[in-house]
Amino acid sequence: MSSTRATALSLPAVRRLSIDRLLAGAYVTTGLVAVTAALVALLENDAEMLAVPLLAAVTLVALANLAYRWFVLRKWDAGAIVVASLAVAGALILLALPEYLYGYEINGIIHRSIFAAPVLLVGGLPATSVGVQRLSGGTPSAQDLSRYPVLLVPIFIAFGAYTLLLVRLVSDGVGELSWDVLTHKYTETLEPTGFVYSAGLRTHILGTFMLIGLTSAISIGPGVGAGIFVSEFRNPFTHVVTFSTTMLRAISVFIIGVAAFSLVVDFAQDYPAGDPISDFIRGSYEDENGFQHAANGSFLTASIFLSFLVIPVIARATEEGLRSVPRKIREGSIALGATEGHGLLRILLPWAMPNIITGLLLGAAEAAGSVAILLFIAGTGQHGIGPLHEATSLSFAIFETKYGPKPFQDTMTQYQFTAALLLLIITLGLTAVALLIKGRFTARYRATLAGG
Amino acid sequence: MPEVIETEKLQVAYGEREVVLGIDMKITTGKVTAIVGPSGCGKTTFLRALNRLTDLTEKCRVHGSVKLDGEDVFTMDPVLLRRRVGMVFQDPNPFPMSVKDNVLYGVKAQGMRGSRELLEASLRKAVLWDEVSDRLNASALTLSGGQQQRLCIARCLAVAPEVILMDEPAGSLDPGATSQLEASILAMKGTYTVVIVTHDVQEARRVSDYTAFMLGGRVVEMGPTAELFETPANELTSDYLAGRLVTIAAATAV
Repeated sequence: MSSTRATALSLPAVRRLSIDRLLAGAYVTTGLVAVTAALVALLENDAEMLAVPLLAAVTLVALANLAYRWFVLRKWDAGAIVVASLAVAGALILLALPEYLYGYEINGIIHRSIFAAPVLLVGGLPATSVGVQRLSGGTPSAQDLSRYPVLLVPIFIAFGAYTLLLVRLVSDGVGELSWDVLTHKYTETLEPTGFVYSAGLRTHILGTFMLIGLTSAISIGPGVGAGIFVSEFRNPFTHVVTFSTTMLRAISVFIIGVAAFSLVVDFAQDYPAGDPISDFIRGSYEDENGFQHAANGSFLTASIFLSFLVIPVIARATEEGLRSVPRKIREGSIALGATEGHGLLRILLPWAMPNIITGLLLGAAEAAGSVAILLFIAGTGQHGIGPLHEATSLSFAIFETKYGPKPFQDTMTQYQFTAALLLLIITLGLTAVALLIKGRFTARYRATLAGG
Repeated sequence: MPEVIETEKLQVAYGEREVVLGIDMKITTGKVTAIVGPSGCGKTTFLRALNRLTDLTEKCRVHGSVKLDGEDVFTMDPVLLRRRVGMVFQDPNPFPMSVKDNVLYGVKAQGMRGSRELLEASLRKAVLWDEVSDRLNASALTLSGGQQQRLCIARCLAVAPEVILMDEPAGSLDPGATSQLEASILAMKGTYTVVIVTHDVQEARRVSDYTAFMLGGRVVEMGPTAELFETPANELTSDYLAGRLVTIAAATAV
């Protein structure tokens, strides 16, 4: 009742004066056009040409509002001042700077207009907001409504950035995608005329799966174990474990890579190729003349060190899953004379399974995407695939197209987006599978309990 | 008359907060004993001390003695104790698994194989068999609240405990489900010893052979249910049973 009255008090002022409504409508229109242009600017390189005219339009509408309110209604319009000054400031920035912005065009990935987009948002959103509020009569829920455009900013920015990256990745990656590049490995062969290099991503694709598989297999036991320990057992060591897992996350991944290299691979260098110690740690390959050579580091070594990253993720996820088991379910099991071990296996772990799967997925993605650990131990992928072969992966291949050996760069640079696209597809596939499994476990073990 | 559980000067405190202030109680074999009292009088805590569920609460201290068939429960293996003293909780807490797996959970936890006969017998004793016999493999979470609570009773009975502790088992049930629950409690008389905590005095009157009235962490009065309800010796007891407000301040004067 009271809200109707409040509306009745504030609305007539707007309804009677149609010029006021018209001006509010102009606010909303110019504001929305500016916001839309901001989105377009993220995708289209030349859209920033629109920015300055649009900001000028916003400024004009704001000034018209200001003038109308001041001269006709005898009111001071602070909103219009804010909108106008933001739009003018934005336009000035864009007019003053364009030549400097060219410098930010790195590989064509960052567009010039990426600067126009935020400026257009900052100019357009307050106008939309003020307009929506004026149009809907200034009631409390109208004020709420008028804030939505502001809430949308981060969404638009994130959406725009992702779209930009994905469009770029897909459009540039698909072009070089072919059956040949998927099924052949990168090779360097010595012909009478000199070295011949041929491109291929096969080892990198299989290597990514190998790293995901080995790392998951190595990490799942210790990860779940640490999670159970931290969540279910209370003693002084609990803190030690929590501290260690947190510390592991805090250490730069690069440092782990250095440690992997200097501790283990260096140590194995004292053993010749063919010696089990060297083969397990460094990996080995056979050249065309049948000679054994030691590589820099095997898939196994890479996976063991990657699991340093993955174990804390799984441990944390397991812990959270176990802590989310309702107390009454735990007590129910204990009150039936079940040992804690039995309850853990039959009730707690199934309950925590969706979390564990999520943790494993995050870990697997980490294994697939990590470069820093492979930095010193991985290779170009010319020596085939297997736990004791030279480690490599798609993410490392992408890195090598910029910083790897010259022949590799020359041969493979054109495939960098293809590799990135494949990595994206693998990660999306993992996510889809994990969500499926997770959904089944959740439906089976976590359906809502009646009565609280 | 034989006593299956006997407590002596039983005290329970959570940190600095003393909840049970010394209770001497004898619980008769094969009978239903009700413990009534206002919220916060320590009746649930007392009940949880009987099968050492208080162990699960950090900073919970228990003094005094609880004897099960003359054996001190605090020196027993708690897992073995809980197989002999089962518990049904206020909120139905079926496990997220099938009706069948719920009933046989405790049996399997003891390393035994659950038989179809045991499954049926337990569900019959809990007066649930007729309702679920055709969906034993359905998730227990699809049952109604009242059915879930009787399932929890069946689950408890399947382990064949000597004593069953019930902590306000009808606390979250509607009147219809409550009367079915009471039917299953009455069906247990003679075979099992039941200790039931409730703040519903009429429920205590309907199902129990003995009733204890607790206030402020102490037992004010205990006796055969009919006697206690008709001729309470203590003024506080008659006030509470008649539905008048009794305060803990009054209890400390006891």
